[in-house]
Amino acid sequence: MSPSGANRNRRSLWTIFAAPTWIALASLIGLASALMGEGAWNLIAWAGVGVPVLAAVFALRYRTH
Amino acid sequence: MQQRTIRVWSGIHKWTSLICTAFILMLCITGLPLIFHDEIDEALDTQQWQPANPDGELLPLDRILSIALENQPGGTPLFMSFDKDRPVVNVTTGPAPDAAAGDMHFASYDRTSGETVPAHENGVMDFILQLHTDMFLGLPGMLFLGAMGILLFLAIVSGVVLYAPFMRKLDFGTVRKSKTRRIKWLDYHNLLGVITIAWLAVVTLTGVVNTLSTPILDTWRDQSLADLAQGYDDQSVPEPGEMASLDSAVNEAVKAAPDRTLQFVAFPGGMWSTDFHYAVFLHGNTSLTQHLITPALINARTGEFAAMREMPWYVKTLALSGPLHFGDYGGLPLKILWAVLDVLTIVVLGSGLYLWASRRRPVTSEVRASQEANSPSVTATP
Repeated sequence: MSPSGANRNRRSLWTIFAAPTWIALASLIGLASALMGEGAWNLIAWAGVGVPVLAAVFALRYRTH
Repeated sequence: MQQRTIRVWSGIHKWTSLICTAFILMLCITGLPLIFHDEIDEALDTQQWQPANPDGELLPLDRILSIALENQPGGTPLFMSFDKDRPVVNVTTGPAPDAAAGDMHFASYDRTSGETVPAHENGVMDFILQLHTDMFLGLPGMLFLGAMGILLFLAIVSGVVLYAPFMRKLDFGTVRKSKTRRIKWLDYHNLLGVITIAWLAVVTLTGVVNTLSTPILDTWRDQSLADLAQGYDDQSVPEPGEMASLDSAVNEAVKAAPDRTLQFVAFPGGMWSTDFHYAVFLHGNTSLTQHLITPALINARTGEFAAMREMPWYVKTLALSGPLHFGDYGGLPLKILWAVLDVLTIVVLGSGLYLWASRRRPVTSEVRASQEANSPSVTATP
């Protein structure tokens, strides 16, 4: 990232909230899925609720400087 | 975002968080072992209980009830529930039909012999559960924790709003470890806060609904069952000796809902029924409907079937708020994820507290300092 003028590196609201929105959506789908049934529904639930945890691992691994 | 707007949202975030953080920390810490309640109970339950006559006939419920009442002289029956995987009936009694939870007595009986089943006593888990539910303060404690949940929800919403100005110049997930300690913890707070929001919002709101269970059930009884109680004005709550056969009441209920499974019976005069009826609760048999219970009401004096009543939306909401709060509805992997997210929430609360305690300047210059710390040519002042 280059040191530049005040407005050059400003991100739009959508850019800022894109990743959080997808993570939230995955979490909610996961939370609802386990209510719907067993088996495949549980797999979807674990994957969905696992997304925020994976996001934390990703950020702490690759975005920490 | 205008500086004034940032200041207002920052004020909301600061005060809602400050008031609730101590209690939410307590809830997160006590909640952690409660997620694994079943596993812990099972691990501590060393003796493998077996029914006295595994192939024997099941005793009538009326017989079990009279044994339970003999064991608790002067007691009134409140609830009878049925274990899923063993022939065990649980009877809750109390000094009066509307006894408080603390005065209730719970005992389990072998349906093949009528003998009591040793309870797995777990004082520590009971203590943790009570602390988590109402801090030993009954309904006022529950409602107070509900209010803390509403504050936490406001803190989540204001936190999302404040996330934007802090992230104007940062990629998602950036943690600037090489900058000041404060910048580093600000980044941890923002990252972990934003990824846990959906889960935390659901656990918070369902927790708030759970704290409202008493007023919700009161409303249900007053609204949905009021007509059933009409015409009995001159009668009192029936004594155990005046009650019709429980077995035939349960049979009537099961007959009325053949596609459902018996869950528990509430006796007349308590929270879960009218003053004059047995309420026999049955749950559905699909994954979704197994959380939803429907009562069949049976006149407790005559044994006559009165009605089958679908629960209103607010009781269904309460019913679904259970699993969504406890995280016990999707196997062990879901519980483990629940625990990880709970720990991440503890880090968010702790870092938030640290950011507040080490604050030195107004939030607007905080935003600027955070943005400037990002460009390598500028060194942030501690």
